[in-house]
Amino acid sequence: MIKILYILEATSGGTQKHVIDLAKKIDKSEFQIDIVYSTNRNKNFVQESSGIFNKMFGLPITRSGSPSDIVNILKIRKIIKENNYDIVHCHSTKAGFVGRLATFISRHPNVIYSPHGFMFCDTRIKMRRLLYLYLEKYLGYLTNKLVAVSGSERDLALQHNIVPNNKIVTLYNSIDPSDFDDFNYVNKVPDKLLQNNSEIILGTVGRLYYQKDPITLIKSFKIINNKFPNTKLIIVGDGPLEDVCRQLINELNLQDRIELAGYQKNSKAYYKIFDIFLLSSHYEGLPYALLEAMIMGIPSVGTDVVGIKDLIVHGETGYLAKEEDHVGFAKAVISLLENPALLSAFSENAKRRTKANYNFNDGIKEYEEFYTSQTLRTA
Amino acid sequence: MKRTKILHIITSLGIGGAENLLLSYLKNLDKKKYSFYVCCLRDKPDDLNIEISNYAQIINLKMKSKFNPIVIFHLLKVIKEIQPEIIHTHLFQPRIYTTFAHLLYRRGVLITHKHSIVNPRKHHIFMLLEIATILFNKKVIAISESVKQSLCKYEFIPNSKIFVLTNSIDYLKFNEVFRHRTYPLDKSIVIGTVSRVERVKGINYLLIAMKIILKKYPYSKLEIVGEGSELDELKLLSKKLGISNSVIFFGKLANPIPNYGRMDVFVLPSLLEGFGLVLLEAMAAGIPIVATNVHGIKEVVIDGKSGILIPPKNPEAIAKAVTRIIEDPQIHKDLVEEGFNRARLFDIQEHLLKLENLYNILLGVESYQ
Repeated sequence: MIKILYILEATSGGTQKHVIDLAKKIDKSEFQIDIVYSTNRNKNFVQESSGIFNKMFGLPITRSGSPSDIVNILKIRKIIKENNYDIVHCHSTKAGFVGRLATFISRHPNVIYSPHGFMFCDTRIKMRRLLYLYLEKYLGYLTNKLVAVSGSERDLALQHNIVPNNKIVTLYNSIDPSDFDDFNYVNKVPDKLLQNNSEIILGTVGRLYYQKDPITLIKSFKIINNKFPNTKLIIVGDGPLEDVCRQLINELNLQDRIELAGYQKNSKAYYKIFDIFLLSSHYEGLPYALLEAMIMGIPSVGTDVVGIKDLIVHGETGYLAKEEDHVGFAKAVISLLENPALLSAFSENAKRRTKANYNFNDGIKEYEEFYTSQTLRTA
Repeated sequence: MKRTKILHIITSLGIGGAENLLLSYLKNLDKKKYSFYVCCLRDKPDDLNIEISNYAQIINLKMKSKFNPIVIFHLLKVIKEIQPEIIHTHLFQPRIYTTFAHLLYRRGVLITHKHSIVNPRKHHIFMLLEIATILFNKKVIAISESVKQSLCKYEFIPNSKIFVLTNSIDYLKFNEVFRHRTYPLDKSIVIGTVSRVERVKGINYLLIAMKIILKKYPYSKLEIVGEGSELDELKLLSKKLGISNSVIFFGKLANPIPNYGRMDVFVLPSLLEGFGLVLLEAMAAGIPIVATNVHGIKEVVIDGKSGILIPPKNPEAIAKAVTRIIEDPQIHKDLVEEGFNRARLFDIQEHLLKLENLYNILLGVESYQ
């Protein structure tokens, strides 16, 4: 029996899905997973993950740095000391910070870290970017293995010398195709272009904050909508930029063309009405939202950034545009709408590619092997 | 001026007709005149908890089971503490428990809100209990004429005790999503429904009808907004029928208004309906309606004018009515036009005036007219 402790702050979105999926499907007879989670973010987390974890420890870990982290680190240290874990696995930046310091002061020998998107990709403030970069570098010394969830994330880590080459493992995020087999994408865009009342629905799913860059998306939609007036944009997700987005929508006079659907538990339903999936992020780990869209066969347009460029093959499963370039992004979508027959081909390719490369059954085996090899190393 | 204290008692704060109505009362009634307290018996579901807490003080009794007479004493304590001028109860359980509590501690005027028609097949004991408790209430508010009639017929409540306050909607909010259509309509249409997913709502018949519609319009979609005990069963049924590609279950939505904006035809296949508020919402959003000719709905929809009524449990009739609306632009136009006029009659402002009037009468500010 291998005892693993997960540390998780981001109890919503892709990271949460990743952690819950892993813990749910992993072989319970061999692995026993406990979790330290943040009670601050998602109030329903305990309910959503009931029966999945062996023990759950709720701590008030905040999203950004705060003095309370010292208390949390000491508490996690106590948990690690008391329960004698084989592996401590930290998910995303904040949990990586408190988790790795806690393992350091408890002298735990085996700590794994999955960044799920590096915070230093946020280039708005140079000082902060350097702070995150150096934090990652120094904490890299305390890390036994860093799990990159995509090839481009691994390259990025190596490029910035976060950890040496032998400390990086690449384990792709993966999803279970059987969860999505009740839906087949049908390319209705050619018909919708001929008709007046039908709306071509462009959609995205993601939290409204800097990383996902909804502003660029809305700006580019203005250009798309000028050319194809019967397009509509649905944005599923909430977040700190909601008011800014609303204001921008009002300024561009797109109130009845853009629907801010807010946070939805059942976001899968929305995928079924999307004709094209859009993702305009600044950086990603390996985005589940895009992965889900692709496995359902929805053609996609994304930005050419870490995480997304792994999934979208330009001209094969969708189009890539430059980061923060709303004109280029709009052009990509417009060229798709001008050649709607392409959508059917893209749909097929996307489905085939994700099913082959990001299949959950393979993914979970890789994780099991990885954990086992980690414990053998220290034993 | 001293504010009038009003205590609303309700089963839980999940999303539903009664809960939404309560929320619109709290939102729209003058806060300078009234101060609100909401007491809910059960903890879960609590979707509206945050929103309601903006307008009223919430007291949660965290009841575990349905049958728990001890709650009466908790309620008694709440009433003693708050000393409300008016106690307004919604739904069955709060009605029963509060009436007993009020009998023990008579403070304030007790009124109750009946949100559904009396089901004559309900057990006699429940009927008797309800009759007895309603008689101890000062007034019972019925949400429609048919609720009033059913109260008179099955529970022998005297006419004078019943106050009809027809359910209403925030017309302007729904009217915002209306979009102008050009005729003839497209082949890729969206058929929608908004309701709890329960057996009495008859959604399984809609799924069968969808199969028929899909034969003629393979690109059409069915969007179902709502949650309930039948959800998994219906998902399975749609798979069995081979139409899962075209049927989308959205689950419960906090704000379904944007979804109305997408629908081309609204179908309500209910077998039993108190009033069918969603029909008015659909009308206000400019969506033509197909609904069953059961009691509550008949009051809202005039057959052939503001909607097409069909017999319940009849998928072929649903499919036929829907195709008729799609194919005949004239009918479509007329239904939308008439729907607007009809929905405007049920605007919330009128409703609130009447309710305030009732409160005033009960408080003795105004005399009976």
